[in-house]
Amino acid sequence: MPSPALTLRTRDLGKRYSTAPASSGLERPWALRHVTLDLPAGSLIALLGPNGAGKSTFIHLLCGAIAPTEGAVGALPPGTRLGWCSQQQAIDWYLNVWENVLMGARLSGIGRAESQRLTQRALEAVHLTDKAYAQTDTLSGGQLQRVQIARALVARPDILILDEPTVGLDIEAAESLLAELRRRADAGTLVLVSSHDLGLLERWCNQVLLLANGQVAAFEPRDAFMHRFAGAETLELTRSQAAALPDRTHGRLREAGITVVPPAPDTRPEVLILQVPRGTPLGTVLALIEPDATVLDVQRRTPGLREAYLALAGVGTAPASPNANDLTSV
Amino acid sequence: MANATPRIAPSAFIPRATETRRWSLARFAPIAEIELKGFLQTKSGLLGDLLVGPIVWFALFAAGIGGTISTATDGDPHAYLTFVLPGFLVLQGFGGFTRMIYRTTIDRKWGLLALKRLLGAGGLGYVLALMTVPVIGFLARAAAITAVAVPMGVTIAPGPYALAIALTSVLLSFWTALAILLTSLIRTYQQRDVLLGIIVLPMTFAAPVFYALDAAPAYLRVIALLNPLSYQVMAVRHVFNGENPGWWLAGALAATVAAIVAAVFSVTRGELLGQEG
Repeated sequence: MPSPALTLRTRDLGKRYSTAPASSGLERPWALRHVTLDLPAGSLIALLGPNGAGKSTFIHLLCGAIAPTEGAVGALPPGTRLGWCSQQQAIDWYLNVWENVLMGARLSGIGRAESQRLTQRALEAVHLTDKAYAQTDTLSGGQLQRVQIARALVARPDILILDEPTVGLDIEAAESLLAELRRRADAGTLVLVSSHDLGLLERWCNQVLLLANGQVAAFEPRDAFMHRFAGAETLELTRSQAAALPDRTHGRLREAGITVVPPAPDTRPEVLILQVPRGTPLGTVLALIEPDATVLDVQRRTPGLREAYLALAGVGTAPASPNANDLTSV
Repeated sequence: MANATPRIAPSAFIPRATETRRWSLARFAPIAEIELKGFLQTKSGLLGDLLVGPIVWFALFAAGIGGTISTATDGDPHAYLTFVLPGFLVLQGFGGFTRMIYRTTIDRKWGLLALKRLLGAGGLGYVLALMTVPVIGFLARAAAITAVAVPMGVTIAPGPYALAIALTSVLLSFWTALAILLTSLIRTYQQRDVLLGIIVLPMTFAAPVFYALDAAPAYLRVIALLNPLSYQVMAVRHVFNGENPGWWLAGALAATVAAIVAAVFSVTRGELLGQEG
């Protein structure tokens, strides 16, 4: 059963890096600021945000790897066991795979015999038993990632923090990992996962924490996060040319209550994604677009985590919803 | 975003996991075990590091210099080797410094230090655990040197010699602590290499290992007095000769304690990542 007291707590947390010397007169940028949260046990939280939003900084602050410039962070109750999988390859290159994973258990204060047993189980969980005695510098990027995941899981921590754990993993391994994390969350563990794999997170997470420009843009249950768009749907228009829409088209769309969703990095340039009120006739939309572009194909979709993320992470460049001004849910 | 939650002073809040246990010895054994495993993994380097290097320096270089000096001064050919031996032992302790810089750079740069602290390692436990391998390595080198020194006619009094080795084992922790401390200032591999290039060679020859401090030129005596290695060499040489090490020992021990305290603070207060992503 989840422990009601188990919480990862931040209060007015902020971090500013000293990239420029004080004498230079340049203002040091805030990577993260004014973050006040209580992350509850028994949840699998998807940590989302564009590059530079402050996700890794947030995770490093939670783990104590860096010191906050202001505010405070800590886990309750004191003595709570944390597991951390870093985005960088935090591998001891002098040790083999088994010893790297064993290290996680031994450093958590677990006895030698029990650590051996847990190491075996953790390597089985990440399908790495055949590489148990391999030198780490002979492994692929995905295998190294699995070593780190196994080390984070091995001591069965109360809180698990994983920064981009699915990078380098194949689809089956990524699904298997998220399923394992969900099992642990259901058993009372607090799991925080940073990832850009929104499809995967949509299937497995139950909370969403979105960072944008170093601040919390949203923190709420996944369904509530996506429900912001319950009255909307997404049209994916494939155009004959990858040209930017003229201002007059933007103006027509805005007047009709239609939002242009900022493209994801993997979106083809000729594809235009629009968020429209549910039930908007296709002809109405095409009439607004076609004076300036030829539409070859249209796909109509119900917005998911991806669409919600793209709209919210782009706050300031594209109005996301009628409630865009009250996204501060913490 | 608007933030309705009132500010709470950090001092009134629970501490970060990595800010606690500063003077705790927690996880000393697992970290020492990790260090030893890492040390033994480099099997190919062990032979050269522990045996060949020390023996070559002592049996070839020091013996050659000793022979030259005895010929020029018409003196005892073994006297110079007996003079060099204690300083040479200290040099073996100093020899672990470079490896420790490499080791602690990896720990910090890749987040392993943060991980160890997060999982429960005490600050003092971490620092002392990192000293185990240098001590073991030193004892192996000392054994190798002893094995060649005795047949070469070096005069060794067992009691003072054992004391000199024990003292060197303690004093070499200064170099481990200094490596941990310096690593907290290193951000890139280039900085590390520059640092090592600047420190190691000048320190080696600015300490009275191969020459007598009293007989050295004035400028060298001044430089030697600024060199922590000199205090260690002089303290161990006095102990080896059955003499009172006096202020040399006091200086060496004070520097060692200060370095350990500073190293513990650096792994419990500073940024635990060598780079920020």
